[in-house]
Amino acid sequence: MRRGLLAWDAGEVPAAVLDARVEKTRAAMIATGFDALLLYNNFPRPAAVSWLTHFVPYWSQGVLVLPAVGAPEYFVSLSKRVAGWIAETSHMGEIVSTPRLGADLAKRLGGATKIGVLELNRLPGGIAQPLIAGLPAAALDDATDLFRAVRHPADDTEVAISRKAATLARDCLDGAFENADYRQTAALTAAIEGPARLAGAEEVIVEFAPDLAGDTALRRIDGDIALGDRYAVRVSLACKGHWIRLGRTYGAERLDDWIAGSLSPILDGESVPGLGSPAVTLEACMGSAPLTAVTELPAGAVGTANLALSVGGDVHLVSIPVLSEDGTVSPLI
Amino acid sequence: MTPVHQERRRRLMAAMAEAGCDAVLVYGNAWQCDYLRYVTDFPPVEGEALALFFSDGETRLFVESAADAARARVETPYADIVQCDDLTETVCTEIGRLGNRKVASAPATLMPYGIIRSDAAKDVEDGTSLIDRLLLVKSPIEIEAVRRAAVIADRGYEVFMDACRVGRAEYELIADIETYFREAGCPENFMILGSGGVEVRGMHPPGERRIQAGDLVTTELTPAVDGYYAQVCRTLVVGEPSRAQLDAFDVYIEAVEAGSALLKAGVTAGEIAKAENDVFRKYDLGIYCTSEYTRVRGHGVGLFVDNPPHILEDVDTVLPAGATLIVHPNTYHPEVGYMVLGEATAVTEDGYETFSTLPRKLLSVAA
Repeated sequence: MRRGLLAWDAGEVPAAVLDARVEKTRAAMIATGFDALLLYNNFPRPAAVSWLTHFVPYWSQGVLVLPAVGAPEYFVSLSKRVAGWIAETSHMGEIVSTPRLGADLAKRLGGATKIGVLELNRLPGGIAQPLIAGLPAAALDDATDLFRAVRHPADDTEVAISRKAATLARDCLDGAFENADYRQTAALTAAIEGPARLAGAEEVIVEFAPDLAGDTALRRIDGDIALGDRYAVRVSLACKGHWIRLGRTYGAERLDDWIAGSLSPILDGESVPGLGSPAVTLEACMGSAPLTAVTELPAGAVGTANLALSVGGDVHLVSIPVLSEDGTVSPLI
Repeated sequence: MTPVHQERRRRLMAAMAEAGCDAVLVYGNAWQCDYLRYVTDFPPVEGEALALFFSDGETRLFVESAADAARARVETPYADIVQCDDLTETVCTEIGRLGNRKVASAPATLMPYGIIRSDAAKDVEDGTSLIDRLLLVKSPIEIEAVRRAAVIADRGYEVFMDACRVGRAEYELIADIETYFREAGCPENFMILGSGGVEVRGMHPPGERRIQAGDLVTTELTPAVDGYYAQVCRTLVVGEPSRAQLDAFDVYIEAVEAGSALLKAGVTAGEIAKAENDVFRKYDLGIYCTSEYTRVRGHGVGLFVDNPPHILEDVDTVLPAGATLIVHPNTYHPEVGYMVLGEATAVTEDGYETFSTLPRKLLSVAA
């Protein structure tokens, strides 16, 4: 669950910014002929709803209804007592607490004939089946491409918060190593995560490839295991609904700054002396998941470049928060 | 493969044989992965996954990202890891290849619509109850994991008490606890809290409110060990508890003890809830047992924070030996505000075992 700071600061995320995102999405929805757009969220899939309303669920699930007219309405399976907290931490219209999400959504949407659903195939059966049964005359169409088309470029608010998250992740990584050396994953996880949460991170996930002499899979460690001579750490950190990743390899000469400085030619496929052929995975927020692998970053998107490189026979894993701007992908910080 | 997962697979294969089931299809995500974890031992950290488990133990795990696939190959080497661009489409194709074999899926409420509506899955049966029965009754090795989680929860509560000082923000308290849990090697925790006075009607994720002298501070801590959660709920006062706070909390102690006194194999969830609620009714506080003020009077714990059965008067689930749950009469009290109390327990043939060593009393820290 989310258990970092969940609070809406209207100075940092102005209501007008959220309203502009809603109107941009609504215009696309109307142009497509939808009477309403439905966006599902739970805490692994919070991103589309938080982008429009600032709401980040800590638990449970809900569906945001974007009607043709009026503020977005949120149907949620949390109790009524939580509605006040949702209202405090978000910018939306009516909040409907119900254990019967699908049936109550169908009642709300009665009369609609064409409804768009973000990631329709992913809608949980417990919501989809009563929703469809309650709307026999309506067509539910997938609206994933519609949403992807409006999601980027990032506005100034998104860029600023992502930059803040990236800076926090970098500072917490730097701070963890300032006066300490680590032999075990648990102590290092705590040294990174504690200060990040104290500084107001909404969520932090610390993953390790604990011994690069073995395998290079990054994973959150359940328990406490020994770090090898060379290991990689990746911090995924969220602030106000925006996620970044920052990863480095330790136990060898650190190459992340050098790689960040050479990022553009690496991503353009140019040969960089000494770097071999890096494997690159780009990620950006495209729908309800905070980060999704993409073949190319959308223009103006904030994202992450994850690189695996072999330098002098040693594997280096590096993750760099990036911004795609004017045809170039460059480090966000 | 861990011993606990070997045990789960053995029980699952026996249940499938009894049901005449050739394969089960399970779904899980980073919010709720109990069905998936039971079948594969794979916990999604960020996204979603599906798995097919066959009656001979063969396991196919479907994930979307290369990172998840790499992690799964390390953490679940006994499974065939399938990385795919479209999870639902790939799984539908796989189901289609199974021909007339009997397949059951779970949980029905979370199974993606793209699978439910596909022609390939039209003969797939609902297997939720099959796995629910397995999730409900814990083996000794599973109970031991809950017990270890409870030890961490108790220590976490001590950290919480140390952290709870006047002037600190709610999210700073939780930062301290999460730091402790990570130091203890515990990657996951469900936690909400409340702070303030009579105006507080529930708990929520941490905000920016700062602790004040005289506050009631409520929390439920729910760390996980090997995927098994244990929960502890306690209420503390910042400063000396008032007479009204102490008197109010006596009702909660009496309610926990009344509910717990009934615990043993064969009792229903509804009977436990009624025993708790009858205490509130005795003090003319019955209205605070309704959904206007409280969600449940306890719930199961295990591979999910909030497993069935919910402890509510209209739930007739019979509790078997080996069920692990928390009895918590958490609700609003009109004189002092929201209060919580409870701890993880295991049902036995003739009673119950409580894992927590924290005292059942209104706790306090210096103002």
